[in-house]
Amino acid sequence: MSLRYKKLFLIIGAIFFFLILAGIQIAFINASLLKINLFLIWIIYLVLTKKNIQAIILAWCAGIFLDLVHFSVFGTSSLALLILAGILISAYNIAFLRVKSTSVVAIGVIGVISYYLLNWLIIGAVSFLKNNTWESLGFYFINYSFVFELAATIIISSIIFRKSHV
Amino acid sequence: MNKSALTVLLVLVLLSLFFILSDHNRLVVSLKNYASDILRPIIIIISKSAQKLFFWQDAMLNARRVKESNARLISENLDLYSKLSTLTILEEENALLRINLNLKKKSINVLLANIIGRDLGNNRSFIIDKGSDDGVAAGMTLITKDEIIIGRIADISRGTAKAQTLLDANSRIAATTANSKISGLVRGLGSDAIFDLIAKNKTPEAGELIISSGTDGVWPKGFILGKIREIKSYDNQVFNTASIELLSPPQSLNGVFIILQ
Repeated sequence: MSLRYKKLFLIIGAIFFFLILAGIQIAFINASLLKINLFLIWIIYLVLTKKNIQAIILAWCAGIFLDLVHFSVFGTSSLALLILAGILISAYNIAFLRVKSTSVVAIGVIGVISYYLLNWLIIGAVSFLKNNTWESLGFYFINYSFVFELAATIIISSIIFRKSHV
Repeated sequence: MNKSALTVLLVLVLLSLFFILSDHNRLVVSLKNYASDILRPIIIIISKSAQKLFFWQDAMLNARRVKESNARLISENLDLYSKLSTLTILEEENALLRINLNLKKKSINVLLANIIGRDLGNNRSFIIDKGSDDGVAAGMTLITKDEIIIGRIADISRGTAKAQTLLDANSRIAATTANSKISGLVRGLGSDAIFDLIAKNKTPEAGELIISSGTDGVWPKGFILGKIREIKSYDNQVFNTASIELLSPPQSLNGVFIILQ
């Protein structure tokens, strides 16, 4: 098979995988007790493997699909994930030179905390512009979802990296 | 970050800001329509398969409670078993007729929709499998078969619609208590709801039903919103508030009725 066809199949496969993942996230994971964001884990993986442009594009596309079901205005998840991708890329380039278990854990922690913080900021700003109200920070952080997602993201990212880099 | 990655990031950030600031723009609406058209068949398939898994999730979480109540019910039901079978059939028939009659009395035209997707918190919004092609429009109210308000349509595309539940922080419904007729405002807190702005000299009773009053001109009158759980009265506050027990939490629903206007 020529390289051109191989690339084409890879792109089609990635799009198909992306749509299935979006479907699983929206129709299954969000309704279950497993509070994880599959796209956040995928973005972390791409940042750690230094596929920066792919991470940025994935963040935007994932945000578009997540916004279809998100309670806030369309575009908020995209913006949050894009800024998050930017933060993770910068943090990884500045603080970590290569992939180690500590950097995977650190990027996972930064990723989840920043994502919740960005959601609070962006949704708060939109809500402030529309209704002159700002949601409390505790609502985003003091709950089971945040703790579970933080732990699960770190564990899943560590497993992925142990398998792909051993 | 290299120059090309930074350029892509900036372009997409600007695009996202454009989406946020012009939510009802034709281009944004078309993009939402295409995205939901692509995703709709996938989430319908996954959501149907997930229902079976959720059944087992609920079964596992409630195993102890189910076991205890099961033992109690077995002993109680031995005498009533034969009567119950006939009663159940009659009751089901009666309930359906009552729903039909009630809705007809109020001249409500409803459309049944299935919930096919949920937001990460699983309480503030969800997607239903009916859209503008089925006559659904933004602002329409969602109720359960027991006429309990769940939320309203916040956003619409061709085949699906996004619903905002009454738990959402932006949700505000003018309401009144069923017996004592005390007025107030049911306000979403994100994961819970409260009955707010109750006059200081009035205290509704715990367990009393709260119904929509229709005075806001947005929500229909006479639908159940919840039950008063606990009244909170503080000397330094102008109004009393009460926590609400939702009779039909949005997280536990699989289908809703849309009131077509």
